[in-house]
Formats: sequence, C-alpha cells, structure tokens
Amino acid sequence: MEEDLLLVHRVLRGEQFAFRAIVEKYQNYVFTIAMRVLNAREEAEEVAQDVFLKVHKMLGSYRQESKFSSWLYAIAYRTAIDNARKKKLPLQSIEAGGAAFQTPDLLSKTPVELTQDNDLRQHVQAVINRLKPSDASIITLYYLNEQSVQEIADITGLSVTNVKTKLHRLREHLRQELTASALDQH
Amino acid sequence: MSILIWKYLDGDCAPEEKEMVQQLLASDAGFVEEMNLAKELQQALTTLEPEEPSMRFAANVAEQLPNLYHPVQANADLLPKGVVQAFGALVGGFGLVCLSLFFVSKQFMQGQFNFFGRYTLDLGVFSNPLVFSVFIFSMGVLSYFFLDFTLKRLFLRK
Repeated sequence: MEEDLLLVHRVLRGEQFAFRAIVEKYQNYVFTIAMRVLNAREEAEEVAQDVFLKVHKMLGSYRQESKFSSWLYAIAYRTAIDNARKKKLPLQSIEAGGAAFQTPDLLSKTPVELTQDNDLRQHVQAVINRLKPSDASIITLYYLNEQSVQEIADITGLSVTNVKTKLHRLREHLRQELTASALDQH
Repeated sequence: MSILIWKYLDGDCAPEEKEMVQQLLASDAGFVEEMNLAKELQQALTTLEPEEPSMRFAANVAEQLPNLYHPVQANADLLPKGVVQAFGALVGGFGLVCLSLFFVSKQFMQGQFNFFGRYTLDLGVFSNPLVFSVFIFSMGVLSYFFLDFTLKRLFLRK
C-alpha cells in the first residue's frame, strides 16, 4: 500500500520509470481480470493496455480514498465489461444465465485424488474460466486479487450482501461440481 | 449447512455458530467430508496463479506513454489548493493595502512609511511607487511558489 502510494507520487512528479514499475507489479492481475471477462488472450491484452493508459491519464485524480489496487482493479473491471458489452458478450451471472459449469470432461479424478496434486487447482481454474464473466471476476477479485467483499462491491457496483451471496453460491457450485465428479467416478 | 461451512472458513462465524461447527465436526461424518472438500477448494482457490500477458506487455504500455504524457503534476490535486490560494490572496491583499496606504500617507513626501503609528519604514528606493509595486508583487508571487513547494514536499513525504 505504502509502496504503491510512493510509486504514484513519483509518477505524479514526472518519473516515467515509476509507472513502468506499477505496470510490472500489476500487469498479471489486470490481465487476469480482463481474461475473466473477455476469455480471449489478444483482446484481454489490448484491454489491459488500455487500462494502464487510462490509469496513467487519471492518476492525478486518484484520491486515496481506497487502496490503489482497488482503484486500479475497478478501472480494469469496468474497461473489460465495457469492452465485452461492445462485443455483445454474455455478462449475466449464474443466477440469471443458468448453468455456467460445463466441464465434465475435466472431472477425471475423485476429490481425494485431486487434492493430492495440482490437478485440483487446474480443474478449479478451468471451471472458473467457464463461469460467466461477472461471476469469474468476483471469484478472481476475492481470491487472486485479495480484495475484501466491500472492495469487490465498490469495484463491481454490487451491494455487499449481493457480493457475499454470489461468492457463497459460486463456491457452492464449485464444491458441488467436485462432489458430482466424485460420485460419477464411483 | 453450506453457508455455515463457508462462513466458518472465511472466519465470519459468530461464537455460537463456531461452536455448532465444532459439534458437527465431532459428531457428523458427512459434515466432516463436506468441510474437507470445502477446505481443499478454498486452498485451491487461494493458490490460483494469475494469467500472464505477453513478455512485451510492459514495454508496449511504456511505448505508448510518451504520446500521452502530460505533466500530470499540474493536474494533481495533491495540495489543499484553497490554503495556497488563500495565502496568495492574503499576501496580495496586504500588498494592495500597503500600496494604498503609501499613496494616501501624508508621509509620502518624507520618504517614510509609518505602520500603525509605531513602526517606521524608511522607504528609500521604495519611495518610487513603481519599484514599490514591483517589490510587493514579486514578494507575493515568490511567497506563493514557496508555500506551494513547501506544502508539496510535506505532502509527498507522507
């Protein structure tokens, strides 16, 4: 947090290298948010670049009311969502959009076996990739970008209760998928 | 039940809920199995790796920056600008008052300026109204920049 603010002030003083440091620190996270929403590498990379150019332009208006990372992720999320809307990609959540998990081909092991190696992580990752963008973003922001429920609410524009409910339902879906795959194996 | 499991793993359980979970873990094999699976899932989620853009990503962004670069500092609202402006107005106002007093003072011809009947300033070169005006104006401008610089340094150090 302190390090981010220092970098921001250095950029505001005109040190372009400081901005490069910000890009290098956050590029993977911003790119991941764009990937979750757009699910296409090239487009996600373009959007991630746009995000950083926007951030550079808007840095003077950063008020420090929230963490720098939350402010950055909010710009990333909105830019990616706007881009998805322009391309008319589906954005609705699992509650509105029906089944979002369709990866039975990846479920080849029982949960016990899955927990013994990295397959579980890969499997979970694959399932997240198949989530609707808004849902995948919530899971990503919570676990990968380590944002609090309140911060996710600020980023996505949802209420805190809504974010909590979605998080619970999404994790429950994931858990049920794993259980179902285990039962299929028996 | 699943709500309870996730609340427990998130550390959001009330003490009585925590106690209930402990009891279920001690007595219900099905609950234990569900909890273990949830724990594994939680563990997998917390250790997910972010996606990586191309190697040239940071360089691509940097290359586009010079075209966009503006002196962001000029736009930066880092200072309580009201304070700086108020100070500038105060100094400017004081200068104007001094100038007015200078012109109306009966001591104009004597080349002296009396502050509140107590302090006497030998105007000397300042007896020329133009020099005096330039002096006051310069002081105001310098004070403004000095305050701006000082506050900026103080603020940026935080």
